[in-house]
Amino acid sequence: MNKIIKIKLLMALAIVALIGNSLYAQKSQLSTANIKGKVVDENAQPMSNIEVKAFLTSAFTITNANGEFEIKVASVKTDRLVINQPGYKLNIVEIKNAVAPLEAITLERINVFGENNSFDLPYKTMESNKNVSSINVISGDELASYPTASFLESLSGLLPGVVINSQSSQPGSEENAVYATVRGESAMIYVDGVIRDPSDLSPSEVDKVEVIKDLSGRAALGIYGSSPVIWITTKKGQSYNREMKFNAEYGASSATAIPEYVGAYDYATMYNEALANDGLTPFYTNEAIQAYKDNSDPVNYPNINYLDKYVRPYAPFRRANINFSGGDNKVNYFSMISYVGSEGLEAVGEKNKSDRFKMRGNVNIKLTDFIDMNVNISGTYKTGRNPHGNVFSTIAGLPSNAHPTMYNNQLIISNDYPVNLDNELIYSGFEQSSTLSTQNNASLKFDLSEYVKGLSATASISFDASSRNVNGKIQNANLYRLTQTDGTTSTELVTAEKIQDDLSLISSYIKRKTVEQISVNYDRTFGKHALVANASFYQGMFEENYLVGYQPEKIQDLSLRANYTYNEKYVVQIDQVLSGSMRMAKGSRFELYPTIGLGWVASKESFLKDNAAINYLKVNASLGIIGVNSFELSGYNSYYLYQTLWQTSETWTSGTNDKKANPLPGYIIKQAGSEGYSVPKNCNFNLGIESSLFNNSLAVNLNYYLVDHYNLISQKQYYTPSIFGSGGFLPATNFGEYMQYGFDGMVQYTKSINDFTLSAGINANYMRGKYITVDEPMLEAEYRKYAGKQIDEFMMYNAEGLYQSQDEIDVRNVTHTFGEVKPGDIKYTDYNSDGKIDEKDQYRSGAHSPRLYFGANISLAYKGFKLKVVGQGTTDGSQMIASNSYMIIDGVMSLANSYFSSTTNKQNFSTAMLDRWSANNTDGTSPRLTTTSMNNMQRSTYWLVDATYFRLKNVELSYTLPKATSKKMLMGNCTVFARGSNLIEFSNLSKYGVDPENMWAGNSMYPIYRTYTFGITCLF
Amino acid sequence: MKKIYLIIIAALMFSGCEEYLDKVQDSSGMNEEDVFTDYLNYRQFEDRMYKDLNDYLADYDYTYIAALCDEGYTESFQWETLPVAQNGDWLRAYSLGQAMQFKPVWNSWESIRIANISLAKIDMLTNATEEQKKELKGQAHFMRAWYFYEFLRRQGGMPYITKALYGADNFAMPRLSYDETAQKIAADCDSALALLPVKWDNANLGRPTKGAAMALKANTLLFNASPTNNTSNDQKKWEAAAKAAWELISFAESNGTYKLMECKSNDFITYKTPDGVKTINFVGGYDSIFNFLPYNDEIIWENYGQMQNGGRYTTFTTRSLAVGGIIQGYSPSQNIVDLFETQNGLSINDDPTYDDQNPYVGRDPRFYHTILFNQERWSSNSDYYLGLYNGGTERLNQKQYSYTGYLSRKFWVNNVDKNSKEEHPISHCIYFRYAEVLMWYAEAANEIGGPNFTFPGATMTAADALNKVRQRVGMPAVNAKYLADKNSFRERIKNERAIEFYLEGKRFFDLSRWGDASKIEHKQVFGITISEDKTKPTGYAFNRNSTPVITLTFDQKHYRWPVPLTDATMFEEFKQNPGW
Repeated sequence: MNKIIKIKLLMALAIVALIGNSLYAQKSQLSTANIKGKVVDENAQPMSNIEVKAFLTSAFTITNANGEFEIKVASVKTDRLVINQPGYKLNIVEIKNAVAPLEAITLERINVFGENNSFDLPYKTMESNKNVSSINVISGDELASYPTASFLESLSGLLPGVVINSQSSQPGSEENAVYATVRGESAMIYVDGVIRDPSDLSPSEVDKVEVIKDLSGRAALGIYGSSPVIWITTKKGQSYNREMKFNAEYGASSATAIPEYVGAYDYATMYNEALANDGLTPFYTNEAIQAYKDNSDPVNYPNINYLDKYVRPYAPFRRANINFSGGDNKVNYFSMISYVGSEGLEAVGEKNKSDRFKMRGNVNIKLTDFIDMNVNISGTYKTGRNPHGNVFSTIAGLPSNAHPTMYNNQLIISNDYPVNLDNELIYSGFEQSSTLSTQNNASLKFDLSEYVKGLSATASISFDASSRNVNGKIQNANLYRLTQTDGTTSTELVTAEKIQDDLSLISSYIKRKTVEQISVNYDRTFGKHALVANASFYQGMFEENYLVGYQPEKIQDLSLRANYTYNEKYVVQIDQVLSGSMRMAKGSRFELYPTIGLGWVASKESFLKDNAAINYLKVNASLGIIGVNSFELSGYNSYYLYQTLWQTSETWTSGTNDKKANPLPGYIIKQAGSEGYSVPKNCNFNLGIESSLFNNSLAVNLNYYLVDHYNLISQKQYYTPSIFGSGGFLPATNFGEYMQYGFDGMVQYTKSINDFTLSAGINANYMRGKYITVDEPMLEAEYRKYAGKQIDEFMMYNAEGLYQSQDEIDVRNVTHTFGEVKPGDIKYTDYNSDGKIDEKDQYRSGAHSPRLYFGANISLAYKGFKLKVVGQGTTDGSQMIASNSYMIIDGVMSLANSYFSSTTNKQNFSTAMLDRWSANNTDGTSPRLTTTSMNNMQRSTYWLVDATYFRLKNVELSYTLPKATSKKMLMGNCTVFARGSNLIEFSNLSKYGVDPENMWAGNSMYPIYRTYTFGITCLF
Repeated sequence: MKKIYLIIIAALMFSGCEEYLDKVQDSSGMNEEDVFTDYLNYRQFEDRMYKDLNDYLADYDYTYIAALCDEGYTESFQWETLPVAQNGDWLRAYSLGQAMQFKPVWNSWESIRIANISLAKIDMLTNATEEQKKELKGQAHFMRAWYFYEFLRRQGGMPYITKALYGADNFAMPRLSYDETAQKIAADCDSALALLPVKWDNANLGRPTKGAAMALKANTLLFNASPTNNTSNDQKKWEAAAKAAWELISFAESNGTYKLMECKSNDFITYKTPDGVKTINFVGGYDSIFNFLPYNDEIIWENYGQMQNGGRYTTFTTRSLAVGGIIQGYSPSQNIVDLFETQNGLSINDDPTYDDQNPYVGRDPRFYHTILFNQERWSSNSDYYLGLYNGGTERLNQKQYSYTGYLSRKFWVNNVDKNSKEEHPISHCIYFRYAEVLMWYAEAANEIGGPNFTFPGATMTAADALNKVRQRVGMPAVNAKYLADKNSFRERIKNERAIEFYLEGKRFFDLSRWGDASKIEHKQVFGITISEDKTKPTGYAFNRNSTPVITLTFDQKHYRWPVPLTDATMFEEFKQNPGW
């Protein structure tokens, strides 16, 4: 889609907004009565500058310094006053009497923790007093400040225990994944009660995001709630309210990190140095090196900075959406149309591009007095366009002296580097994708209290579908090679032009999902006894057609929950879920998983009731067991581990001629079916407190958790000797156990003084883990074993620095097994003192994933100005910046370890390698250069870099027009803002030119974006 | 109480709807019933047990057993395993890439499992004749014994697994002694012997026969009687070996199933000297044992499947002239060349007619079948003489050319176009042939009673048996000076085995079982320096090298191969061999 269409679209959205607004304005002429009133807070103090709306007339006004207001209403019987003040509960006031002033309207503040909160749990909304689970919540509106196309990313740094990891920001790529892990496990993400991909959500359609961390809150989901759940609910319309919200922002994205590569002169010098170190003859002549140095012959001795030429500093980012919501006593609606577009950083030719349109309609209809219908429908249309390949990884493998890009208007490649970036980006075609997806829920809610007081039932179905087609052209231009004859340079054709006239299908898929749910709820209080009980049945199927023989993923479970509260203080909740795994044989599919949760609202106890400092204090604990659905064994074709599968295979050919031409196949077991295994399980324990202190200005939440993963699926390979004769196909069994434990928590302080509001908070998750039993060699030396060790340790050598002289090597007199060792090579500790440096000298140490994740946020508001800053960081962990695989696969290697592995496998070098060891530079940070020895390529402490970082993930500076001004402009609210993401980072890894969140972004993978935008939000 | 209530509700709700979770039927519907009830399927299952047969001639095998003893030298083209193995670090060789002699043989446990499953499931078979069932069982017994024999002559005794193990079984099994294992192998051979046919029809050539079972038993017992494995020199073991060998000889003699390939034709080679091209005539036909013919009566048990894989180079065969010189990955050693007797039946040191400056005339005919020497003509349609002198076209001090001054000719036949890149012989990968059975008898009988001893019930003396092998290539009977006692005759048997079975995967194991492999004369592999000198009879001067091409590492511990580390470190009961 071209830029003009996009601009038109934005204009159209704006026009719709204005028309809608003027319609409201016309309606406001119909007013018939004037009403006076007053707005106060919980302490009966008047509240000024609060917007009051009349539902039918759409009139609105603002309270004065005394909290008083006067407004026109349509009819005292049917009209309502609506006060929707952010941070407070929605207030809808009936007008009973047109003459007398209204009673003072009290606004109830929503505290992070407190009695008037409630949590949406699967199948049931639970008041916070009755909740026994550890849950953190954030509203969708708070996520809008993060400029990104990927919804999950906007959660970065905001919720304790939740780690959002962005891999890359390539527009239009399905692989541009953002992962959410909670307490070290990959989160199960539900949108409106169904497991769904959240990446296409727009913050403006999201009501709230809850993180259900412990088991009691998610036990009802059965084995599909075995790891922490991110429970997202979309917005609903509010009765007696009518809102239109328009938001548009525009900005630019750049890469957070791209390594800097050496120029031709350095490259040639270093390559020769590496050869010299190996006792080999130099590859580049002195004339060549001189030519690289003075750029005297750009044809034969080129020196090209590809990043300058092929990568532009910024790419545009656009986002806009418009929401309509409202309702009356019968029908509520919420609808949204949104657009988000981003582009790649390619400077020439094809650019990565992505455009996404989304719409949603959520409607609640009261069909009869006791039946409510709810329908949520959303649709997404996404288009993407990508050049073949990734310009960043191409550059990482292409030294600046490889060959000129163009000579005599011909595109040049060379034998060693058969790549031409002009060809890649301009002439080799593209892929374009279009994805259409829809997510639909419909449910009926029956209020059965007429028959049994407190009884209700819900039945719902949902079906989702998405299809994706990728079309493209695979072509290339004429590619030439430089040739030299008698000192004159000419070219010869290597690859002839290939042009594709029509698009061809590259890939496609269709995915479908259907879910049926029935739930019966009983909720009643008898004096001091409150009982909430719930029985639910859940059944779902997910089909994906792009894999031949793909088996649909199926879910079936039945859950029962009973929650009993005594005197609003003591809570006990028992969850029993009978959950079926399709990975098990018939007859052993269902298992019953129990969970118990306890709650104590301490602040209700007499000894705390009148404590001025403690407004709310609650202690939760839960303990439960749940099965895990996702288990597979490598080498097995499916996860139906109970099946014995046979397959044909080549055979030993006996006999003469006929058999030779036509050998009969043999039969072998492809998978040895197992009878003796069960679903792997987690035992979960959580202990948490949540509290609201000092006049609700300080919210505190602290949790200790422990998850024991046991009965893991294993082949017990190291307990099965060769004499078993399995040929690699051992039946599955339960073996293996590890546990994860840690703390997470948050503190949030909020204080308003006059026009100034401060909110600041931190959250953190500190986690450790330990292997308990592992399928590993039994007689392995203790220091090499997993069992009993931390789960995040590296297996590596200890580096004692670099050998500084041949004498040092000779005197030490150990055998090196990774190749020739010379001065400037890494000196490894002989860990087991056997006089030989080999794999037995590796030991477990360090932490490859940070143990402490933390987020910090601060927001300052003064009158209309607001500054919001969110940061995220990690510490107590390391990154191995070099390893063998790292080295061979991509050019990043260059950053530290990419000495030449061989003369035919030359990679680009980052400038981080310039400071290498040599006889003249014995303080070099990199080891000596070599083309042959693998000694320096081993995983060792030498390459271990502290992975601590802190990054400003999100900053927003906004100005909201004074209400009086916006009122004149017929708007309820108008805010202009500037936003940014991934703005600044403090990291040890920055000096290597890599991103602290993903070392591969910007070199072998597409970069992560740093985005700046400005825009406007209008509320009518 | 609550739980019971729950279960009742659960039962009500789920009865009849668990099918929702059923797997959608997929296309591969074969189950155990299908495989084991039908004869053809059953046989195809069982035939997979042949897949681990080791191919000692394989071109892709970069750890030739022939390069780990004094037969010759080769350097691998690309893999690191061979130098590691030559250096004696066999434990490490298991873990490296192309360790064909090492890890894959150890993987034969899978084939043992197939054999065991096949023996256990035989009653499931519905549409097979009794004869067919016997054949299936016989082959399973034989192949189980075969793989244990492969382990025996490498690592030694093993737990003798006779049923397929499952998860609940005890895996911590102690290793049996060498003798115990050998007896179990012999017992399996006896079972196989009773079940297997004397011969297979043409469509099933290559499957084991009665004769193969007898040969496997005889060879196992010979290994069991050999000095390394019979440190107390228990005569009973030699007697058992002699008896088993003689049983096969008398079986062969009585029905003519096996006999030595007759060598009655005439063959010749030519070579260039300053005096012109000269010719050497010798007995022909010996090469037919190894080549082309689908089968011959000398072969008792071979890796026939490999032969069926079609034309291939072996590293031991010379390759075409077309690439500008003969290429061969393998260089025969001077050690072996010196073992070929003169045509007078004397060792070169004992024969005064032997001239070390004209060393290739008047040698055992097998020499000309086996070794290519300097200035020998090697071309079918043009005069191309091998430059195996130092600096010659076939001796450029590079991989694929000769390191020693010799190339190997064994596994070639004359009627193949030597100039062609494409044509190369298909060699039988023979495990047992009749000549060897005669020599087993000779060896065992000599150990019991010396060269002139006839084992009770037999009709040949030890020397008679050996002479049969010599006579078919026109060599005189063993000279009387070597028949004085069992010691001097033992040396002739060793000598005879070295040249008769050159490159047939025997010598490494022979040197090992005799306890000779760790001796310096077998660890040092020599070549010869050949330089142009017109005054010499051949136009070249021959100087014995003082520095070996390689000195192999073979210590006491190498007499028993290590078991791979994973197994050695899994259960205390499964012991590593001493020294590893």
